[in-house]
Amino acid sequence: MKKLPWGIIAGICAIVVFFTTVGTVAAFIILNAVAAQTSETATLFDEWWQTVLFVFSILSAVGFIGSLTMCFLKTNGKQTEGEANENEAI
Amino acid sequence: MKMKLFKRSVWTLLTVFFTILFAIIVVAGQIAATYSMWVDKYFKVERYKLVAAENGNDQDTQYYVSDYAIRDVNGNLVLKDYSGVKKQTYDKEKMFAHSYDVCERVDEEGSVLLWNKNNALPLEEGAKVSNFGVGNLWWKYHGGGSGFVDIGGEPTIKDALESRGFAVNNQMLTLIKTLRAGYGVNSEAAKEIPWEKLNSSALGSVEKVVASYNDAAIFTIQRYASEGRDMLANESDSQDGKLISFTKAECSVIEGLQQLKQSGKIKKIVLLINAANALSLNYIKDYDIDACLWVGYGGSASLDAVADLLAGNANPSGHLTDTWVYDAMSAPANQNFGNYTFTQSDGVPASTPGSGGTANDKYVVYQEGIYVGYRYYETRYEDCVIGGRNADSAAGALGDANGWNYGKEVAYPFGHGTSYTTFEYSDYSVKKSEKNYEVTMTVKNTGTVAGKEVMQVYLQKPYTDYDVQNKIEKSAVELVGFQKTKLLAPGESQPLTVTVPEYEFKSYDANNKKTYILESGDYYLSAGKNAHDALNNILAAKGYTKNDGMDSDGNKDLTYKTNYSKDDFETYSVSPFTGETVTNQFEDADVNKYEGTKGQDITYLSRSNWKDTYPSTVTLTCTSQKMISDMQYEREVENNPEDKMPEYGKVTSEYGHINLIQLKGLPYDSPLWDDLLNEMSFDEQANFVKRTSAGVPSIAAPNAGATDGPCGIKDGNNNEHTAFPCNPITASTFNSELVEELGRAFGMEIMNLWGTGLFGLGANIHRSAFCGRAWEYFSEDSFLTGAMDSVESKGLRSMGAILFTKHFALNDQETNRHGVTTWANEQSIREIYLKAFETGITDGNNNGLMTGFNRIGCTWTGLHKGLLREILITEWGFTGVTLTDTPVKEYMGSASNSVYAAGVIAGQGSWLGAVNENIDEFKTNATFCNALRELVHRSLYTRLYSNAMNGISSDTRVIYVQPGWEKAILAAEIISGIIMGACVLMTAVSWILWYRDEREVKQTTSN
Repeated sequence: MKKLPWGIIAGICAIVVFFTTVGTVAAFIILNAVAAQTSETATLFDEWWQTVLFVFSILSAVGFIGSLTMCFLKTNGKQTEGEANENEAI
Repeated sequence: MKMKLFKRSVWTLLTVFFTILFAIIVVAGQIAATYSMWVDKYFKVERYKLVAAENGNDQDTQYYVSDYAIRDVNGNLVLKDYSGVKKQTYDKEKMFAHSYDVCERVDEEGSVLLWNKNNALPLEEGAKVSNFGVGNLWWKYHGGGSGFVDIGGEPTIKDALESRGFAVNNQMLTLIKTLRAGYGVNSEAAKEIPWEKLNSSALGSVEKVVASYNDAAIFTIQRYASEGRDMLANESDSQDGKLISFTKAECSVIEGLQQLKQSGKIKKIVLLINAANALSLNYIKDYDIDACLWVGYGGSASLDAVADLLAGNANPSGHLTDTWVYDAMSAPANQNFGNYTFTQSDGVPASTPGSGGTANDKYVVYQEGIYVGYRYYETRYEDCVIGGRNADSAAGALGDANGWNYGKEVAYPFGHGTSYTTFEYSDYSVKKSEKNYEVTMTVKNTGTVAGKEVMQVYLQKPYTDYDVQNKIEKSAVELVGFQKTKLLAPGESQPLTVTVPEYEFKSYDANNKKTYILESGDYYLSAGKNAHDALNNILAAKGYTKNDGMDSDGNKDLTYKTNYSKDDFETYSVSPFTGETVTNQFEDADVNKYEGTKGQDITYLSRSNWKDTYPSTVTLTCTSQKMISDMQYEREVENNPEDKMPEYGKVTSEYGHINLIQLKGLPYDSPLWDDLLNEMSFDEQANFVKRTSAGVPSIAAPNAGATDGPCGIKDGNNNEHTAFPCNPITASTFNSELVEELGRAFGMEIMNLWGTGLFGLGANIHRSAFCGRAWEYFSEDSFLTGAMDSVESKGLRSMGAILFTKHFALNDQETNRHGVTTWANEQSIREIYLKAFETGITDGNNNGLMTGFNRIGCTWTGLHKGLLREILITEWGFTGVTLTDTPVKEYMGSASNSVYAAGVIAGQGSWLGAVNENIDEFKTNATFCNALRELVHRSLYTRLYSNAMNGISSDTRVIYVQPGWEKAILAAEIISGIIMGACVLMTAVSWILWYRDEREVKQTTSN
């Protein structure tokens, strides 16, 4: 667990969050514009793939926050470890 | 520092990110370019900018001037810069007030008082009323689909009624609001709150709720018609599975109200029918309802008009544009309306599923022939009276199992409508001039309030042995003219004259002479309060009475008889508009004549034998080689070796270079058009296939944007528009002058938004009461549809609009509309389904058409040469432009570029929203290039006589401007590409540095 590259995972999650969110919003705007032609409105979940995009967006956002936290804790832990080592050296 | 700057993981991630971003932007750019027309529309982009001449006289270049254009103290137009030229400014407040006023008058004159027992309407002044019906919460002022126009707000019936002095039961409306969850009316269902629920609410019984507001119970019955869906839905609450029948819940409310009325708890019951389609009345015929007012979809002013009618501030003078029957299934057309699949269709391109899919395996057969609407009911009635022809057999009889009986089938005939006053007809006479019949009559208001009446003139042609032999059908009556009185005060009279051209006397003989003929025999012209009344008058003139089975004695004094002693097979075999020969063009649409359906003959409904020819559901296969071949997407493109390539990019005029505006005033066939077209490049002409509105820099032709119609402008977020009354209520006014005024008001609103084109009007026929777009079409009658289309077009054209009247042709149902094969015989196609378009073009100067999604036979309308070239152009002399419906489906071109080329040669103009077209491969095909040139000629001619030319002089230039969104996408591609490249570089460097460091560490370790 300790050896997982949390920074890289956070980065990947950030990329997925970005593109799935853009995809979700763009899909909604386009579908809504199309629906407006027939005096209807679209929602975020009209099509199955919109739901998939949305779910991916949420999951990757959770992943991003989690991995960022882990990355932060890991970095912090290293620093604390380093400080402790320094103290020991003193 | 070095390590941080060249951290591998960061650069690798950034490279991944920007590579994906770059790829998405590139792909999105391609998609946006493909759908550029729609993106332009979304961002309201003009690609063609006008550059006006300096010191030009802008006043002289305003060719179409709005009645509400602002002028200065000297009377000069106050102009404003728009896209480089000067255009008019408008007093919008006055303009919209005028539109609203016109709408309200149309709604008042178009609403039809179906019945009014004991003068239940108008309501007494200050009456205390209770409203019923969930529809009161969501008034339907328009139908759904591309033509829907948002009125920007939710008007309430309560406000409208209270402003007329009525006391409205707020508790009842609150109760409806409280109970509304799960109820409402949409295009799939009509779910009314049932009586038991209303009667057992927390407020107590309905009797208690209405106790103080019991002068009248006003029950709103609603149906919502919409594009893309016919009203065939099997609604769960329905009593017969039909959405246009009254539901159980609606009947429960009527029954509950009836009980309250019988016990004296309410004084009267009034039905308001807020629907465009004719409803089936069988489930309510036995209830004691005092009055029923059909109010259609009246647009913005609908509720004010309704309130005025209920208050008696206005007197309804509308007349039905469709026959109202007890059961819609009694119409023979409904035996073949809806969803029918070939039992075999191997080898035909696969259909795609869903309502927007392509329906290659579907068909619809117009087996009823000409007997649509009243033409069926009235003709069968006459034959019942005369006797014979099996008219009184049980075939098609739904009201009486023993045999067909008019009174058991028809509730209210075509043309019916009562009033708060009464009228008397007198002094009926007919005078024949060379080619016309002048029908005159005096109408007198014999009641106690002012009102208007419609003089309706019907024609009966002789049904002869020749007809029986050659399978020509004749309706017992056909509407051939009408005129509305002014507002007649009590006791006041007005003489009216209706001119009936002899042209209306002709019939189409598809089997023998293969042209229009004028047969010998007796012709009757009769005036009546409706189609049935006129027929009774004709029967009276023939000597029939109630003793012969008539339901009332007619008035023979209102009938004129003329006799043609000889058959005339010549006069109308030539088009009166162009002098060209008229002959069969739709043998490929007649199951009995088309080579591909050989062996699958059907029997069309014929009055020669009602019993044996009454339609039943037709079963067809699509298995012959001919049929399968005709259904393919790939088309053969003509290339006549004798055709010569036209000129491109050359100045050939003796006047030097000429611009479009310089041809103003010249006719369509002026030789200068050739010079103008010679100046254009092939690419400029080819652009018209995709964009009918495209500007042309080389000849300074401005673009001419179009918007959805047909009952108001769909202007997105602008909200500067009026929702005009829908077409059935417009037609039911039977007031040509008023409808022309409406067209003019509509045209001014188009100008206000600096627009030119309108995807409307709608001239299809109410073949069936189930049609989802009935609210966009005028009537079941081709004459009335044509007359109304013509006068509204005149109004719109007076403001320089380009009208793409839709949907040409035989697109009379929504079910399977994308590609359904439509089968009908030539007589019915010409006399019923094309007549309205013909009148709009030849009389209304209609300058555009939108072709339908459907196929005629196996050929898509946009490829049907008989329809587009032989009839539209050759017979009718059409000089306007045709446009497809959208989206462009596989059979319309999206699957094969050959369709575009074949379509242009057939006479199709532009493809609305074409996305994949590439016609460069036909650049060397002279036949195609000449057809393309003709299409451009039509488009430019149409545009020249439109308001798109306002502000343009001979010195105006047109320049092409790349839209901002295209520039933005290009910039995004460049920027993201550069960043991506930098990231790739940095990633490579970071990996090289890492590799070098790793090697150094290894070397150090090994040392």
